[in-house]
Amino acid sequence: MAILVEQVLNGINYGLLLFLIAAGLSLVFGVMHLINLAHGSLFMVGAFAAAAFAHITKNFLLSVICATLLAAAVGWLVERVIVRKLYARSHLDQVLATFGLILFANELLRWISGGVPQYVPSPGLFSGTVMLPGGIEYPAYRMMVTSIAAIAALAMWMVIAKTRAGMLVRASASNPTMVRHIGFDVGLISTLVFAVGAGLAGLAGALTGPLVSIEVGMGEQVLILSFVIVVIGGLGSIRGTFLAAMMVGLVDTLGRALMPLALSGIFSARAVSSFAPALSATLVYILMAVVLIMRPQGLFAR
Amino acid sequence: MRHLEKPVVLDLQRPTNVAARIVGGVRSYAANALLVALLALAPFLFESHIVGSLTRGMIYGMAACAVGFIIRCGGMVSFGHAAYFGLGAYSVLIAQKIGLTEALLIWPIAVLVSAAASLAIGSLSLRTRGVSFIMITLGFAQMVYFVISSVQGLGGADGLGLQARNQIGGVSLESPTRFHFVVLALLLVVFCVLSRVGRSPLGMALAGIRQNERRLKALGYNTTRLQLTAFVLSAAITGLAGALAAEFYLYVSPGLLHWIVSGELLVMATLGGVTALMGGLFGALVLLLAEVLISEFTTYWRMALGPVVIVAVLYLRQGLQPALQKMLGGGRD
Repeated sequence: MAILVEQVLNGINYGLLLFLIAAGLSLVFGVMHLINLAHGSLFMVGAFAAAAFAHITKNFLLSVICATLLAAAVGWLVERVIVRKLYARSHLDQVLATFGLILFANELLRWISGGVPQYVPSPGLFSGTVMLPGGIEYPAYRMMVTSIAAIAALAMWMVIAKTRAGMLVRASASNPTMVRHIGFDVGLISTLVFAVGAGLAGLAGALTGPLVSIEVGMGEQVLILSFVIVVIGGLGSIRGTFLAAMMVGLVDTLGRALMPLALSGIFSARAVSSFAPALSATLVYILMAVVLIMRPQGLFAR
Repeated sequence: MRHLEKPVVLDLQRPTNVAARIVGGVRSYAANALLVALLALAPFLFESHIVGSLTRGMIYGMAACAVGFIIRCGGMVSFGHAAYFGLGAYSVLIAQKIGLTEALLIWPIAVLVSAAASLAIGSLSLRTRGVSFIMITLGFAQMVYFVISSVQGLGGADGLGLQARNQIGGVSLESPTRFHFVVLALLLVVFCVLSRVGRSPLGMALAGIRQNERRLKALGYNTTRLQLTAFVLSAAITGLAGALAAEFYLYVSPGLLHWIVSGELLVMATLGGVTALMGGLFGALVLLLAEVLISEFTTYWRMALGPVVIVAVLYLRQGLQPALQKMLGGGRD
């Protein structure tokens, strides 16, 4: 029971982090119709930057904020220099150019980091565990990550749904020509959306840092899962992206944790240890296949 | 690149005079003919390591041409062809593990395995179009990667070596020169197949789907089925290329299934020019040449490759093969 609760919480934690990444992907696609493969690289930049800033400042929260801002700044720069030219192009061109960006970013960080995985300890204040109601212990750091990610997700939803700026973003998604004609700078809105998406990915990377080893290629792992999420949720729907992210986070985490347990009742331990990892790694994709069979346009497509 | 959206004007006024047709034909194939001649003469002209690079270029070029084919015919951008490439390679490994050494038996098995996988993945992925199709092909390819790299019997994440290169009808392929010619011959067969399919009613319908799928549907075509046919053909060819890659490296690892291979194949196809039958081969050879040259100076050669790809996408509109073709004065491909 305790394991189950802990794994569900881990799943929610993972789902929220994935949402921060997939939301940026979905927003950028919704407003600019751009498929951005390099979005995962911004996640990686966030993680590496947080590790570097943590080294310098010795302050975890400060390093997370700096890393988020740095990722947003990188996003701003990349949008202005390269991505902007891709909006009018075919999806094939967008895929290729952003693939080029990945190659560059990966190699640059491999060069800077020397190809060695980086580790960041969880910040001292949050290195223990918290007691949940029911007497279940849960790592405090994960709890904090869950809270920060939930706040960020909520803040993003508030901005998009309730503010004037959010209204402009939604308007640019549905009719950019009209937005331009009533006197707003759609180019600037695009840059801002891209930078905010980059910042969210960077935030997710910075928060993930202490949970994993920070290495080159970590971005593509989450990028591909984000793609799965966006497809399951329905392209351009933030609500769908959120629910799909939670589904994928839970399925992936619970699958990895519970699949060996469930199978050990049926097969020998040796057989389980040989194919349980393979089977649990495919669960997310099986989910995607089922959704495609039932609703090819995604669960919450408009 | 951007020309993809433009409708293709069919050349209806081909020369009727036989002699003029032959001359015109030779001229319009000049770039391709020069490249094939170069590849055929390579073992007599260059040192063995350059010939090896060219063999590798042909193998990747074969896969890249298959990737380009479904963009040109059917408008499908697949970001998951590494799965079929890798499955072809792993088929060779498995075949050798159960004791087969006859390439004429093993390679068709590799082709069938890749084709079967693509039939399943393709029929699911083709429930969507455009961006979702790109993302889903990538997702399923990643699934194949995870599954295969977690099977310990196949070497897990490290991969396994092959004992020796397989034989063709009892003839050993150990000699690099002989293997080079076998790959070249298979490549030419692939080009014949792709060229014939491209000109067949199926190919015409597929080209129509790229330009305007809705119209083809209205004309009564079952567009999804046509696209699936092309997708499976493309994956089968990629599987053959993967089998050849296993024979070339004599080593099979999950690296062959990695998503970056899918990306590289797309880059090769587009760099060479997706409108051209042999574009992928041009792209693969140029890319591998660039790799060899840049890696002389630095191990971080991809850092230079990234910007090259971006600049090529932004400013090189049509790809290398068509550009070269225009330089040589030929007409259509």
